[in-house]
Order: sequence, then C-alpha cells, then structure tokens
Amino acid sequence: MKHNIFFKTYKLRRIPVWLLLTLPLSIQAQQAKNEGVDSIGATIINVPFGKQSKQSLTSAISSVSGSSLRKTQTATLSNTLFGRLPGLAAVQTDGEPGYDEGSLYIRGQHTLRDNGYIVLLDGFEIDGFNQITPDEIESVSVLKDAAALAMYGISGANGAILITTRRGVESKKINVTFNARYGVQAPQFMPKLKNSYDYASLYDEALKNDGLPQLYSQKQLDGYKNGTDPYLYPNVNWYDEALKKTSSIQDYTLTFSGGNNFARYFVMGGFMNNSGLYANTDNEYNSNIKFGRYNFRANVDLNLTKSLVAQIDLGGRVEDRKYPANITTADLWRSFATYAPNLYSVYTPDGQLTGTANFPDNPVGRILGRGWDSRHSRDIQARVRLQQKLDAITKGLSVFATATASSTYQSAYYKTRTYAYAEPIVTASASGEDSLYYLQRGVNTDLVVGTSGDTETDRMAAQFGFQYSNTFGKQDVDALVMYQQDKYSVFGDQSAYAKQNIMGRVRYALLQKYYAEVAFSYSGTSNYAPGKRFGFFPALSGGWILSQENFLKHSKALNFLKLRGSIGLAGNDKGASRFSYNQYWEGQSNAYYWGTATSGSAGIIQSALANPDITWERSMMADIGAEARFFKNKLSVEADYFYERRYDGLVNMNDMMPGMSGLTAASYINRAVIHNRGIEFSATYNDRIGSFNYFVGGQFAFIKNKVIASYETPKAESYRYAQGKPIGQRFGLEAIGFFRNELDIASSPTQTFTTVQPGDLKYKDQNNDGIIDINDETAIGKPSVPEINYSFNVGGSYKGFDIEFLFQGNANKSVYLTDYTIVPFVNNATISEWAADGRWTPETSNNATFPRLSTISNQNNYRASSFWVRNIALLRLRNAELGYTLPGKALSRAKIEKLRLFVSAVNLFTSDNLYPNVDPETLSVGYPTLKTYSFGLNLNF
Amino acid sequence: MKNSLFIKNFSFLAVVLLMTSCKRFLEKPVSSDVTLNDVFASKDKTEQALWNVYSTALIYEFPYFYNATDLSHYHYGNHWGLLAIATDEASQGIGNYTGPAYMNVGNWGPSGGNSIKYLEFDSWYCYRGIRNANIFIENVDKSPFSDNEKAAMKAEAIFLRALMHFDLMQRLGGVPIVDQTLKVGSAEDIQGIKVPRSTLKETVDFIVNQCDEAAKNLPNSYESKYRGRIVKGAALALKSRTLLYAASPLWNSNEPYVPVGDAKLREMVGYPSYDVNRWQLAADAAKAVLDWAANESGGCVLYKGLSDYADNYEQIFLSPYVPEIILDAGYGGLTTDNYFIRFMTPGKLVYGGVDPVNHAMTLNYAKFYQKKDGTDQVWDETEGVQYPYSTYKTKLQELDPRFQATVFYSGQEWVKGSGTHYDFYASADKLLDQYNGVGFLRKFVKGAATSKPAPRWITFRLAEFYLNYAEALNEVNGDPNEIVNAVNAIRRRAGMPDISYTNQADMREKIRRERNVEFAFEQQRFFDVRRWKIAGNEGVMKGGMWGLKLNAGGGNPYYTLQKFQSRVWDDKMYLYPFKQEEVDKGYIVQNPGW
Repeated sequence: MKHNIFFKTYKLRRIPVWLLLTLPLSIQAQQAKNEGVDSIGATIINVPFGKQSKQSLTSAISSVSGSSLRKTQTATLSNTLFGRLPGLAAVQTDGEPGYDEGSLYIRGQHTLRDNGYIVLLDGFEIDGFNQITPDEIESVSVLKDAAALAMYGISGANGAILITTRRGVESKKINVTFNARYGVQAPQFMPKLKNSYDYASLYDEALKNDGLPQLYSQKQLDGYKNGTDPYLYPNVNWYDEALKKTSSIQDYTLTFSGGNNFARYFVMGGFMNNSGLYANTDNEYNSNIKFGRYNFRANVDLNLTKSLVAQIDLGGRVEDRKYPANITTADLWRSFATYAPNLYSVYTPDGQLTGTANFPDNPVGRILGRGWDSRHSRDIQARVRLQQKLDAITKGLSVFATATASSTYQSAYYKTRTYAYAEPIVTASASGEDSLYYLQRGVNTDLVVGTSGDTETDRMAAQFGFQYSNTFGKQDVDALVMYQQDKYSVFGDQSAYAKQNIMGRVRYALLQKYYAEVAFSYSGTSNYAPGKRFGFFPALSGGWILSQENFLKHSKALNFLKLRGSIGLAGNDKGASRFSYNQYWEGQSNAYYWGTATSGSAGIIQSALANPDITWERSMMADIGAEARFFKNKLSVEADYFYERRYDGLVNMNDMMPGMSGLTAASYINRAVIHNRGIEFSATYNDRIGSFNYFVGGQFAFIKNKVIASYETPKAESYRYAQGKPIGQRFGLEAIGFFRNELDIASSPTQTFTTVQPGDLKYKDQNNDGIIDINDETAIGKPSVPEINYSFNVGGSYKGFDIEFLFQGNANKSVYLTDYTIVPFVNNATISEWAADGRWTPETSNNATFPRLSTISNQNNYRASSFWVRNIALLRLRNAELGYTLPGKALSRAKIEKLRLFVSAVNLFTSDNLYPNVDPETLSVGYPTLKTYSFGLNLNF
Repeated sequence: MKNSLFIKNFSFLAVVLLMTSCKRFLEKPVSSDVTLNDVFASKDKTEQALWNVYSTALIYEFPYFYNATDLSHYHYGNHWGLLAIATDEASQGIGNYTGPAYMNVGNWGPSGGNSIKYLEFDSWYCYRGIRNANIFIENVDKSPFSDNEKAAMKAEAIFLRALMHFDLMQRLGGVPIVDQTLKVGSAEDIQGIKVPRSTLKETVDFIVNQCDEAAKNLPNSYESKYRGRIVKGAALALKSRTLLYAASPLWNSNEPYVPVGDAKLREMVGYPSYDVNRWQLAADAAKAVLDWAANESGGCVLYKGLSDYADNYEQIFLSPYVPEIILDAGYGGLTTDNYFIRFMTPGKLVYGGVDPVNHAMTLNYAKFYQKKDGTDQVWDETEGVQYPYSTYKTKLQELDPRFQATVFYSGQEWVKGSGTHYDFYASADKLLDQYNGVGFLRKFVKGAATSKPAPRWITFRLAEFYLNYAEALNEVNGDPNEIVNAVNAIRRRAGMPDISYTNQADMREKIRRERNVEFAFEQQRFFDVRRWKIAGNEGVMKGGMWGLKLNAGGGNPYYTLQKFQSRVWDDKMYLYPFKQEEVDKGYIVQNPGW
C-alpha cells in the first residue's frame, strides 16, 4: 500500500481524536520546514474541538501557523494575516499604534447588517484577538463552510477564526527560545500639499471663480515666494513640523517548554512596544503615541492517571496606550492635512506657540501643549480541561469537561492642560509696510489629572461532552457530542449575553478512501423570545480520495487527489438590538417644561418597535473542493467553490414604513436574501536544487455577493435600488466631464444643486427628465471590500541562509474620495498638489482632473458622483525576510542550539493604480499605514 | 476505584450543570426595563407618558434647537429661523443656510437636499406625536387615576393629536387621519397601515370633532406649576383657527388654487365649492373662545397691565404669566443650551458666537403699521436717493406702539432707559449692520439673555380670536358693530384710535392689516397669506423685498431705499408637497404641481 509521506509519519486514523489534543506536537518541527506552505502542507490542522488530519478533512478550513505570522512585524495580530489564508480578505484602514487592526472578511460580506465573525481561543469565544502575540499561537484556522461551522450553529454563519495556543512537548531538556526584533517605521504615503505662494495664488484664482474680490496683494505673494520673513509670510508644512521621519516598533518574547510523560508545559512572556510619529514630545507635558503590551501564557498538561488528562491554561496581557490629549488622532491628522501653509508660523520669534481666534488649535500645539491621555487594559483568561478515558465502558470512549473564566478591564488616565498662544496680527503702516505684532490669547494652566471610562467584561463558559473514536476493520468512527453554555457580561449592562449549545458530529471513514461527516448544533441565545430561542443547524460533508482508487493509485505524476463537498445551515445572531422581541419603554429626562422651569419634567416613551418574531439570519452554505498533490508531492493544489444563500437577513422595517406610523428608531425584521459565491485557489511548489531548497506558492480568491431581496425605501427610479447589486454599493451621479462654457451649460439639463459655471462637474441625466437631481443617482463603482484577493510567496534556503517574499494584493474594489481629501480652501483649508495641478481652468479644460477651484463648499462638485470614485487594484510586497542561521558547531560550545539572525520588511512597496497618489486603503485620511524595516534574532537553547 | 469515583463526580457535576442552567440560562434577568403594562400601572409613569405626548407633539412652535444629526426638535418654523423670513415679514442678515434662503428663491421641493423636510417641516414628527397620543389615549384607562382625572388627561392627548393634524393640514391640505395606534408586527402589516389621504373636509371635520370631544373634559385652569398645560380654551381656540382656515379662500372656493384634474385630489386640496356658511361656523367658533374667556376661564383677558402701550404689548411675549395666553409652551432649559439667542437676537448684542441669523423686518411689512394717529406713514423714497438718517428715525418713531415693541431699529435703545443708543451704520463690531430691512426683531427676544430660561412660545392668545371673529363675521355680513368692536378692542389695547365700519371689502382689508400688525413674527402671516390666497401678489411672497439701508456717510449718516431681494413664488406652493419618500411608498397622492 502506498501511503503519502505525511500519512506514513503519523498514521493518524488510528489515533483517537482526544489523544491528539494532548499529542506532543513534534509536527512543529515539520511545520517549521514547511513554513509558508502550511495552509496546504500541514498534515494536522486544528478544527473545532480537536485536531484532524488534513487528509480526512471534509470541510473548508484554511490554517496558518503562528511561526508564519511572526514574519510580519506588527503590533496587531490581524495585520499578520494579510495574504496568509485563502478566503480571508484583510484591509488596513488605519496605522495608529494600538488601533491599527485591519478589517477582516471571511468569504466576503454576507449580510446587510452585522458581518462580524466569531473568534475562538482554545474552544471558547473571545472578544478580540488582535493583541495576542504570534509566539503563543500554534495556529490560526479560518472556518469557512457549513461543515466547519456547523457546531457553532446560531453564531457561525459569518465564519469563524479559530486560534489554538501552543502546548508543551515531551522533551529531555527545557527548550528555551528567545525572539527579539527591532523595527523602524515610516509612513507608506504622505499627501503632498502646496506651499504658501501657490496656495495664495490659487486661493485668489478660486475667489475670482466665485466672483469674489481678491485676498492677497502682490506684496504678500512676493513675500511667500521669496520666503524672506517666515513670521510675516509663513510657509508651513504641518506634517514636517509635527512629525518625525520614523517611529519604532520592538518586541521580545521568551518561551520555555518541555516536560515528561507526567507533566508538560509551555510558558511564554512577551513585551512589545510601538511608538508614533510625533516629534519633540517629552512624555511629561505631552506625549507621542505609545503602545506597550505585555503578554503571558502558561499552558500545562498533566497526566493525572493513565486515563485522566488535565489541561490548565492561563493567558493574558496588559496593554497601555498613550497619546496627546483632547483631540482624536483623526482630527489631529485632519488639521495637518487642512491647515493652510500661510495660516501662521509654528512659533513666534520668541518661541511661543501661535494660534488665532478661529484656528486656536495650532497642530504642533495640539501635540505639545495639551498634555496626554492614556488607556490601560488588562485581559486574563483561565481555562481548565479534564478528559477521562472510558475504555472500561467501551473502547475509544472518553468524557471531558472544560471551563473558562475570562475578564477584561479598561480604564483611562489623563493629564491635560491648556497653553497660552500668540495670535499674529498683521497691520499695514502708513508707508505701506506690513508689520506684525502678537496678541496674547489663552492661558497656561497646570496639569489636570483625572480618570475616566472604566469598562469591564467577563465571560464564564463551560463545555461537557463525550468523545468516541474507534476502528472496526476498515472502518473508522469518530464521534463527539457536547453541551456548551456561555455567559458574557458587560459592565453596566443589566442582562448578560447568554448562549447555549448542544452540538455534535460523527465522522465515518472507509478504507481511508471514503469519508463522511454529519455535524449539528442545537443552539440558542437569550436575545430572542421565549420559545423562539433555539435553532437546529445540521451539516453534511464527505470526501473521496480518488488517488487511493486503483485507477489512480499508480499514477506517477499524481500523488494525491481528494474531492470533498459540504452542505448545511448556519445562523447569524448579530445585527439587531437586544431583546427586541419585547416592546420596551424608555425614560426621558427633561421631556417637557412647565412654566419657567429650567429643568423639564421626566417623560417616558415607547422605544423602537418590537418584533416578537425576530430571529437569527440563516445561511444555506454549500462548498465543493479538491485537493491534489503532484510530482512526488512537490506541487500541492487546493481549490474550492462555494455558494451561500443568506436568508431571513435583517432589514430595517422603518425603511418601508409609512411616515404616518410615527415610528422612530430602526426595527429589524428577517426578510433580506443575499447570495454570496466565490472560488478559492491555492498552490505550493517545493523542491530543491542541490542544497538549495525553494518554494513558490500562491493564493487567489474571487468572491461576489448580490442582494436578492432588501426591502428598501421605495424609490422613483429602478436604478436607485440596492437590490440586485452587491452589498454596500455606492450611489451617486454619473459625472460626464466638466462644463466647457456657458453655452454648454445652457444646452445641458439643469443641475439643481447650485448655479453651475464652466469648470464645474457635468452629470448625466439618467431619467431624461431635463433636470439633474438625486433621482439621477445611480450605482457608481465597485464594492468597497475587494472581490479579488490574492497573494503569492517565493522563498528558499541555502546552507544557513533563508529568504522569503510575500506579495499580497487585491482588485475589483472602489474607493471613494471625499471630505477634506477633495475640498480645498473651504474653511481656509489648504490645497493638495494633485488638486492644484489637475484643476480646471479654461486653458486646461481638455485635460483637467479636478473641477475649477472655489472657496465655497460647492454643492454641485463636492457631492457623491462617479468623478470621485476610483476603481483600484493594488499589489504590495507585504513581507520580505532574509535570515541566516549560524552553523551549529560554533554555537554548541555556548550551549546554543540555534541562532538565527534576520532582517525583514513589511509593506516594502505598494503598487496601485490610484490617482491621486495617496494610500489606497486609508486614502491618507487619519494616521497613515506604515512600512517597517526590522532586524532581529531567534535564539534556541 | 479512583476512576469510577471521578466518573461519578464528573457525571454529577454535568447533570447539575445541565439541570440548573437549561431552564433559566437564557431567561432575561429582572431589570429596570419597562413595558406598556408597567407604564400604565403607575400614576407617575402614566403622567410621564403624557408629558412625552406633549414633548413629541412639539407645540413649541419655534426652531429652538439645531443639531445636524438630530432634527427631531423642530418641525415648525424654518431651519434656523422663524417662518416670518419666508414671508414678506422678515429677512435674515447673515448666513444663507436658513430654510428661507431656499424657500424664498423657489429652490425647494419634495426631495433632495432642499427637501421641505429639511427646510421647514417633516410630517413624520407630527405623526410621532400622534402615535404617542394614540398609545396614551388607548391605555390611560388602565391607569390608577380617578375617572375624572383619566378623562381630563385623555382629553389633553386628544387635543394634542388634533393639533398635530392641524399642523399637517395647514401645510398639506387633506392628510391621512391617524386616530389609532398603527400596529406593525411584521413587514406584511406595513401595507395595512398605509392610511390614504382624507379629503380636506374630512380632515377639518375630524379636528373640529376632536376639539369638541376634548373640550368636554378639559379643565379651565391648572395649579400654577403646570403653566402651559392644555385648558378647555385651547380646544376651543384650535377649533376656531381650524374653521377660520377652512372658511378662507384657499380652500373655501369654487376654483382650486391651481388647476386640478383629478376630482379626488381636488377634494384633498380644498372644498369642491364655496359655502358662506363655513364663515358662520368660523365666527361662532371664535365667539365661543371669547365667551369662554369672559365666562369660564377665570381671568383670560386682553392684557392691559402696563401703562405704556408699547411696553404693555411687549410684555405679552416676555412674561409667561400674562392672562391673555391660552396656550404656550416651553422647550426650555437655559438659553446657553439652545439656539434661540443665536437665531433671534440682533447682531452680537446678546449672542457672542459666530454668524447670528439676524431677523429683521422688511419695509414691505413696516408699511402695514399706521402712525400713532391712525393715518398712514408716507413712504415716498425712491431708489438711489440719499435721505438723512434723522428722517429714518422720525418716520419709524411715528409708527404704532406695537411697531416700537416689535422692531429694534437704528438709534434706539436695546434696553429701554439704559441710555445706550445704537446707530447701526457704525456698529460693524456688534454686527448690527448685518441685516436687511428696517430694523431687527425685538418682540420676544428683548428679555433673552444667556443663562436665563428660554422664553415660552405662544400657541394661542386671546387677541387672535377677536380678529378671527371680526374676519369671519365680516364675510357673512354680520353685525357691523360686532365687527368693529372686535377690531377696536385690539387697537385700543395697543393705544391706536378706533376704526369705523365702511363696507365688507374695505373691512376685509382693515381686519387683515390689523392682524398683520398685531401678530407680526408670530407664525401667523405665513399661513394667512396662503389661506387668503394672496401669496402670489407682488411684494407678498413674490418680487421685491425692500429695506432702508443706512450709511455712515463720512459723518453725515443717510439712508437709501434698497431692494435687497427678489423672491420667487409659484402657486403650487400654496400647499407643501408631501415628502417624495412617502409618495414613493405608493399610498399618498401628491399635491398638484409638485
């Protein structure tokens, strides 16, 4: 019998699943070899409530090891997942240390309401996983199809992320690893702004366009141009003044693992520090952004008797964040991007911060003068599991019970102050010379110290069940049935979030060729009406290893071929407000004022309309997949096609409700239908040439959804409906160029938003009624979540050297330029280079890329239209790493088992087709996303 | 055996776990959440529910609160200002973001960014009040109050429901009448609650009927802490105003205000034909208010508390305890918390922030005021000519005491007796030069200051019913003495000489003019020019709006006649359009022309 190498190594089918839970993970060594290919190559993967050989898997699960995630130096776990898991799309929309988590989409978007997935850590749901460090993670699995999600029943339909922590391995000595790295970070993209001279000249051009008098004299323009007097004629780039060129990130972890046949342990301590880009901060009266984190974990396995195994785990972390007080990061970056270069100099000649009555918030002053704010959070999770073999009753039977208690606590502490600033006043003397004096405004105050915003969440959950695993000749049976309850309370909420679940599965294998699995969940939540709380969610899946059949067994090229398929139901209990089955009333303070009272009498009002029948969204999910390996297992390929029909989706009844109902708040009803379908494909090729090992891999996913029924507010024009279009479709007018001249305006349909003039955007009259209004708004652009996500990696090792590149990209998505990225001059805002250079003037009318300039918030131009939509595709070198492992001989004398040095980079380059040249994901709004250059070492004793 | 012991314990634990949890684990724990039964089982909460009907019925007819994300605090009055700005009464000085900035140039309609729901009125807010009233009416009987108390409280809700229907009707014509809580359990129910528009007649009849119903059980007064609570007179007052509107030319006419093809729609936007008896009903209803004041109210009279006529008139709007008031409302708190001061007070005399709205009276409207001797002022200015500032002051000083109390014009004291006179041509620093017209709004706002209680706003005061009575009685050619007595009661109180009866047509003009003068800025004119069907006349809602522009003149201040705006009117605007969203839902017939 010809087994593949993996199978031969482990003979997994003969090992009961429960044992696998405590199986010494010697496969980690194997994984290390297969880094970068582990989503296909790993032989055992973590599945819900157990581990399973990849070969016998009948569901769609992608998995990646913690050691692969370590390759990306970032503070936040979700940012390590980019391009690592087929079917998981990741988009980063913020780069602020401590708050830079990416948005993840498991098989795209599924619903018009809450698309949130569940995250499970060692079998229990957790709040968030972004601050877990890769060093404590054995693997991250993404559960994608009905078979994989079935046991999560009522909460599973949006997908799940399964995190499994590392455990101790039986070993003769204590294995010690020390990982350290230090990275330097710099923004990937910075917006380019015009200087004072250009700003002032263009401002005058805009005034002229608006029919308003000029603001700047020739003398002022000359002053800006010559730059002779930086106080009278300031020319400030606020980014340059407020920011450093680079920031830093560093992390260090120490792990100990080992044990014997009685007890095994994995212990980890980690420290991470990430700082921001703000310059000249002193940490006393002001602060740079700082994010520090301490992670720890101790996982212990005890064989209490020959048949009783205990696991005792404790994990947690401390997070401390600090940042300038009294302003949000978004607003601070908005001020860098919008404050005019000639507004004022940063300081007076005497070094005092400036400001004006209208613009008191000098961006540099906001960072340096106002004190700091901090957030502190603590998170702890304890877990105990006991598993007793019951071979005495029947062979292969065991019983288990698991319990967890976890708690998070957050508090805030601040030290704030205000500062005195000087307002520059320019006066013209009789001789016509401008002169400048400063008016004192504001006061320096002492630091005010305070605390705020304590929050706490707690979770108590338990599981209890039986497992059974046995082999009868050529048949393997593996079954699990269990009960789970989960109570999650939020500080201040009167009612905890409670869930119950009875779930199970039965796997059957015949001849190691034919696999079948039935899984189910009977689960309920407290959110629904009594009697309507529980649902039944079954799934059926099967696999067929064709390569074990005679007709393929002897193929030279094809080493392995499996077909698998699954179908089943899952639910999504998110999206509606809690207990909305019952009609509640809410109190109102100061509802009505009698006489001359300055405080009102209290009132009470009916809350949002109840829906006694409210229930979970349902999904019917189907998946077919194939896995194959060719050429002595050098080439591995996996492909999936899936189809999901989301029905009973939540829609807001108020959208359809006649106004006379007098109803206020949104109330949800299960009516929407959405179809979501896609393909996923991944491949890896491993080979060697002499002592040069190399691998090439790639992943590709194309996922599209369509709203089939959405129950929207009725609209006059059919093209304005979101129904029939992807979730989150944008609507706007279709821009068809600029008005060339008055004749053009006169001969075009009337645009009703404001009086138009040449150089203003011209829109298409979709309904041909002769006027352009909101009824001409049609679907513009593609979804904001990319439909195509792909990545590829290439790497190799030669002697002590190893190298890997991971490219990640996406396509079929649109971004929408809006707000200050496209509106110059309004409220004295500055102007970006691209707006200035592309602006419409009579001379540039043929190749303008921006409307004529205006100092007014132009209702015609700055509104939702296809002009501001950009369909983009991007490709970035997400990761590059070069390592060198020192020869063993040199180290063994120092008792060092292994020492590897490496340099790596994150986001080394990003290539995209977005014009203007701003960050394709954040649009350079808010804190930028960063590129990181790191060096570090891995040390094993 | 160790093992079996473990198994025993283990199984026991598991069974306990399952038993204790399965039953109750998903039950919602006892909480402070309240349901309908809880509300009406308690006196306190029942009362609170009624206060909420008051609150959401929004009888505070003033845009006191502005919040871009929560527009729920106004459905009356223009965005950032009084309705007056959208008539020939007034203009705004600074800012083009008020509702009238769009309405006056005809740039508004049923949908889009300039939808009427953003500019002035969103019918949804009325129906929210109606819903809360209906819930209250249907459930108050469960409450532990006495039968009399229940009947009175129910009558309050019935009145408020009728008032909301009137608000809808005066803007939209015949509207869907919602006299019960519309119940929606699922999407399928929505079709069933799409109540179609009633005819105008049905709407009028409903309001009148409800006023009669409420009047039966409403008290004539309350203890003083409930100043502003609905009395019987309020129900009579609403009935009077409703019947007056119903009898007026816009609706009581053989010809609709614009051609209407559809016979059903015709009846939604007016009576099918003229009936003089509607004026008789209006006269009777107005008389009923006057009779109630005289015989039942316990002291409701035209206010004559102060000897100076101007001060006396001004006091009506400054003191919440003037006996002339039948219904008023506070939306309260302190003025620092609201926009009253920003919208209403002149320049930066009171308000310290950016961009005051600066309500000012137009010259068009100032011309309605006679001189104190009862003759007309001579307004012979022509454009482009400079007239001495002293003439401006003299001409305005000569006008009716009510003008002195209504308008803060240049050269006057803001606080009388303070000795501080403001010359607007020189007052750029207080932004007192930022207005269009003859002078700023003074009525209501003279007493306004930051950190003081926001003024109460009058819904009904007794003076209206004298003029309602005169107007209706004149149309049925009633007793001339009754007509002039009613008008002269108002004039005497203001220190103006009596008028005498001439003929029906002349009296019509005189009564209308008296009404304009008496009720300037009180949200009456906006609807009066509609119901009189005169909005389309030059200088009313259409055409030139005029002011007297001051100039420092290098030491010799002067003024010129200035046409500051040319307004646009289309007869379809006599009634608002329904929101396009509602029309699109397929149950509303849109008003003609929209």
